[in-house]
Amino acid sequence: MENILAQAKKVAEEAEVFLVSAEETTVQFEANRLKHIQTKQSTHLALRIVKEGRLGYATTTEPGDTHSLVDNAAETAQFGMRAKFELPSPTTYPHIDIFDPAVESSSIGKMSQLGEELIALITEHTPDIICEAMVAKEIISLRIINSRGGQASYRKGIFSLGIMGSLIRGTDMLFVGESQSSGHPLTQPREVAKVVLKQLELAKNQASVPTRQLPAIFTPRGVASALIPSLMIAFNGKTVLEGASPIGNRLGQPVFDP
Amino acid sequence: MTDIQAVGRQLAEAIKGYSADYIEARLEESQKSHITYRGRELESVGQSTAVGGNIRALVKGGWGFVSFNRLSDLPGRIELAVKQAMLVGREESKLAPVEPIVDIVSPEIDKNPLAIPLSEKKQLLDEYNDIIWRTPKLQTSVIGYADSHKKTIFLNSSGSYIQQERADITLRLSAVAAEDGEVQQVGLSLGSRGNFSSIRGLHQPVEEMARHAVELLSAPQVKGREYTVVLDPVLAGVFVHEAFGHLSESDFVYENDRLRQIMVLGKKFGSRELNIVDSAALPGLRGSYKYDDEGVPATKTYLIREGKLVGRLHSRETAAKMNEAPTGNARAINYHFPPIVRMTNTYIEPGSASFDEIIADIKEGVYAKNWFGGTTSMEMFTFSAGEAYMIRNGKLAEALRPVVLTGNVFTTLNNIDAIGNDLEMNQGGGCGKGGQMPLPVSNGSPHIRIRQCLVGGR
Repeated sequence: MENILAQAKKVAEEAEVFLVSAEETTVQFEANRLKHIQTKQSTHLALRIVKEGRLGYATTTEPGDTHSLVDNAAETAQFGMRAKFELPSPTTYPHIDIFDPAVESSSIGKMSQLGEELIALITEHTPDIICEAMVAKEIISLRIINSRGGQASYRKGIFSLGIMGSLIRGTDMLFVGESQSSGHPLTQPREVAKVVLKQLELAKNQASVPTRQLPAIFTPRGVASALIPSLMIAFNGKTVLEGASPIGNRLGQPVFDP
Repeated sequence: MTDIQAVGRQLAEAIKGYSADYIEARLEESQKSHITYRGRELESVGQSTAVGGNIRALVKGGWGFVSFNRLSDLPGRIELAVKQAMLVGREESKLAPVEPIVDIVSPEIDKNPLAIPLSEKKQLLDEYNDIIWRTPKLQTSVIGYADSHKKTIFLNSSGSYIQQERADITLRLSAVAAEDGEVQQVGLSLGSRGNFSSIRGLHQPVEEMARHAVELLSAPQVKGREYTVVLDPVLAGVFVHEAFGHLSESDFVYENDRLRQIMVLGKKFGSRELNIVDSAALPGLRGSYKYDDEGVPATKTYLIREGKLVGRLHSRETAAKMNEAPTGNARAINYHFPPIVRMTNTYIEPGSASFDEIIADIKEGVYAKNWFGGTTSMEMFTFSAGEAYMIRNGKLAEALRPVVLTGNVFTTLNNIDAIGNDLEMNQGGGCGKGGQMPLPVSNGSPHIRIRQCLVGGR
């Protein structure tokens, strides 16, 4: 990384090198049984430079290929956005403990068992459901250094557990599912199963909906998935600045029916 | 950059020494660039290069998969993939037989888009952005250009060794018009198999797109109810891909008895005029290739012929487990992922009706054009059309605000009662599945007419 920074400083006023490495192991279940174990190793290097006041950016997976990385970043800097900021100088950041070594040491055997338990909890309730499940652990290391001497690094682990089930009767297809992730190993499949079992219980009572305007009640999840994304675009400062938000110039005015 | 051919030769030797029912390896080197504008300003520009590979092993029906971009310790990675497969495998391995193939496929394109200087690409985008910004009442624009070129090597324990190259280009433009708190947006989505000239000369469509965004500010909203709806080739192509194509992917069906009953071959899904095809063997489209990522030659697969379900898309494993022939549809977006069953170029074959004939006997209907967004959830779909017009007494009438179409795919396929003679392939799409997106695909259709289609509105 230091070598890339040194090379970049020869062609640019400022430079920043960002390295992220990850190793992820996933245990996958298909049609209610163990099907696939995957391990993915990846290393990505990114170089951001400020050349003649403009930003340039390039990435590579090959740390040894300094020459192309610097050339690619320099080519993009001809047209990049004006850099209206300075890269951070050396700063002492507070240490925040976000790495739980127990994520890294979770065994494949234990992960498989967790997936099997989760599927069993669902199939005991609804024997004809077909489930896909996954249990995954990922360790990510990240380091950033810049030409002003600023640097930071951290390592974190993510453990995830998820299930998706499909239940088919006639041409009626029901999808249920839930997932969780944490910085610590997840050990309670029951918590994920609880959500799925509730979905299955609710789906037992089917109603037919007429085609016309009706009052609709949104669950908190329904609000989060159906309404929040549009509102986030409307409230995005960049959208407002461009004049592309329908509520952008209505500060202080009522915009929704209370 | 690392020489993946040398690594490929090492791997071809190395995989011979392991005991597994099947082992394969893929190696890949790629270059990409992108330019994004938001408003008048260039927001982001970047270039990337990547090298990586993966090993996949099958033991007693269980799969192990290891991907990496550090090309050291290859024996260790093969060993890990085999060990993982052994931990999983508890039954018999089944893969449809395929003859070993040794081939070096020469690139289809004249010029690698990555060899074109960024300044030339930027100049073209500047011209399009200037056109958008010249339009009165235009509030802002978004333009996203991306290109890529990659070389892959596939090899397996049966003796296949295949080298292929492909390039890809996408261009998405959108114009946003605003007035008195009203905001309307129109987009244009294009793509090509690496041929940069296919995105040149779009000045007129870009101008029309911007003008249409402004026109929509004063357009009425349709009254929500069932209509006879005519879809243009773009929207009909997206419908056939999203609503029907995904149900034809056998990994979704092969281990689910109830889905197999719904998707049983011979079942009637539409009129005798309805033919739906997926074919990677068509040359020059974004979903085209000679061999898939399991080294299986591309085919032309009829999914629906004369209204009846006659085929589906397979990997070697799903074909073997369903006792059908492999179709060459196992694709991986890059070396980080194992191949899964995917579509390629999916389309409705042309019928005999002209557009005027299709709309001639519609008293009041909706003409929906272009795709803006949408979702499918199993058999239910919801799509928003980018443009829409009323059809009155057999003629196109006033422009409408973008409409939303929703329905059940099986009912909707059955309600298609006219198919045009004007097939067009749309190259602007990208498909997502299993965390692998956007995979280059194309889809297409002639104009089609659907009776009793639910249109959302005021």
